[in-house]
Amino acid sequence: MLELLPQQLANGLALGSTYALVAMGLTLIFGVLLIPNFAHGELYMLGGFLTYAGVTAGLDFWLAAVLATVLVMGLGVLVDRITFKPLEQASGLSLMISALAMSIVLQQIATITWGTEPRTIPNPVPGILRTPFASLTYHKLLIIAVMVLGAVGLWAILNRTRLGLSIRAVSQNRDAALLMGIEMWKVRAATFAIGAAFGALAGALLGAAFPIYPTMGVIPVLKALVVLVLGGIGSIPGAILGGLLLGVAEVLIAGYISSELQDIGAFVILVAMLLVRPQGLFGRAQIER
Amino acid sequence: MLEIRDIDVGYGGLRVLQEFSIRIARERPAAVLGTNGAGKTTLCRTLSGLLPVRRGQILFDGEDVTALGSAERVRRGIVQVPEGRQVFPEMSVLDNLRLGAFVHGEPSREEIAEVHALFPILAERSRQNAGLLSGGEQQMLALGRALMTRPRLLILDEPSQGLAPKAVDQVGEAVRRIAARGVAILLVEQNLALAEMVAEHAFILETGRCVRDGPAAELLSGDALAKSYLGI
Repeated sequence: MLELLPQQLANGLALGSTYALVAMGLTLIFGVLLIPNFAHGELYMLGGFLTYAGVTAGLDFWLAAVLATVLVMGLGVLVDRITFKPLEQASGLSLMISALAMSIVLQQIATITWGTEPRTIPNPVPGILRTPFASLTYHKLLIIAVMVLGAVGLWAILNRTRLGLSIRAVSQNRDAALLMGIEMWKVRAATFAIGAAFGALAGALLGAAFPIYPTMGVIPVLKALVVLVLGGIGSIPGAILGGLLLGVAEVLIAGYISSELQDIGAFVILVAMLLVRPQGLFGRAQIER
Repeated sequence: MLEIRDIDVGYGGLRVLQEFSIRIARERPAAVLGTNGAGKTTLCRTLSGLLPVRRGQILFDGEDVTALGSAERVRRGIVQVPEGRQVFPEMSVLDNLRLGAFVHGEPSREEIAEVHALFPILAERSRQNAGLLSGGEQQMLALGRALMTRPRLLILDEPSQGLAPKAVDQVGEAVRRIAARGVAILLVEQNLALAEMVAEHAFILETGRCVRDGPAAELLSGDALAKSYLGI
């Protein structure tokens, strides 16, 4: 059993990388704007479908994935405009209801356009990398690589650009940011575009190994919520570490206990985390006054 | 410089400022004094464009700015040091200053050096996170950050709040130096000592109305009536 551990860990990191990718987008939008964008799963789904559409139209996979990501970034900004902007003064509950409504609308649009039958994209990177300890498909390695590059890119945008400076300012103190002359609509648009890009990239990459269908985004968003609780809501390093942790834990539970418990495991971890450290690994405890 | 004409501001059914009018001249630093709940912070937020007025007008240098958004007002030089300082706690002191200059682009070394000269503590702590500064130091940072914005009118919302008397003196000294550079000052306070240090003209704000105004020296010293308004 134990000789399988390196292989299990490698599989767990690959799975966890997809969770981290999805979670980074969700946590960025929540951390900066305090918006629970549950429609994130549908942006992920549309990343998959639009890549599929591009490939079907004869485009190269990479070009299709990039185009799909760019389109979904624009769509993310539009989702904010329609779903959240009109509720600026409303409670968090209204935002959540609105987000769920937008999820359903996007699922229906996908159903009308492509039907409910699962679609597949040919894997752009077939083959397996074999090492003495573990073997990984190139596809899984690609996912890990994109997650790492995405994280580095996000870090660079947030910490090395003026746009990033304004995004961080809004996330730390929105009113003070307004008093600096930062224009909220720009920060909102940029945050939603970047967040949507992470969802779309994950959808495009996963679509090359798993079926694409209109409700494929529901489970990843639930998992991403677990990741957010694990890592600390609003924390980017937390989303990465939480994602990897959840991926590894799920694979280990499936491998060493029972594969039927894999999904339950995620929620057991969620409950345990809420009991032991509700602010998450990287979160800070806050007292509501 | 700044003229507020009969503004009404409120939240929902609540009217906080009612037919509030004042005029401020650049060369006469002004203070608006009032107790808790009189509408001080509401006034500051309204002037910065964070709250809409329901009635009335705000004129800045003769131009109507009532309908302008917060960013446009900042660009025109209406700059606020908000209540509770509101520094960006998880950013370095330097990044806080960069944000002060946000509407003008990346600040030059000279601009930063100028603020450092006025507040040497900000040079010493340049790389530290603003959240680690003491209350007095954070107030210096909030003032320095506001200077980076190149204010023409500086609105200060209770800068003395939560500060030790010595730190309040430092704030007063700093504001006087800023005023000496030709920046119009609107100090909104309940601390009379600070107002006495800074202001030449004072307005008394009571439940959303301006009930009295006059030269600060007259209104603040020995006027039992004014003191009774402030409950001290």
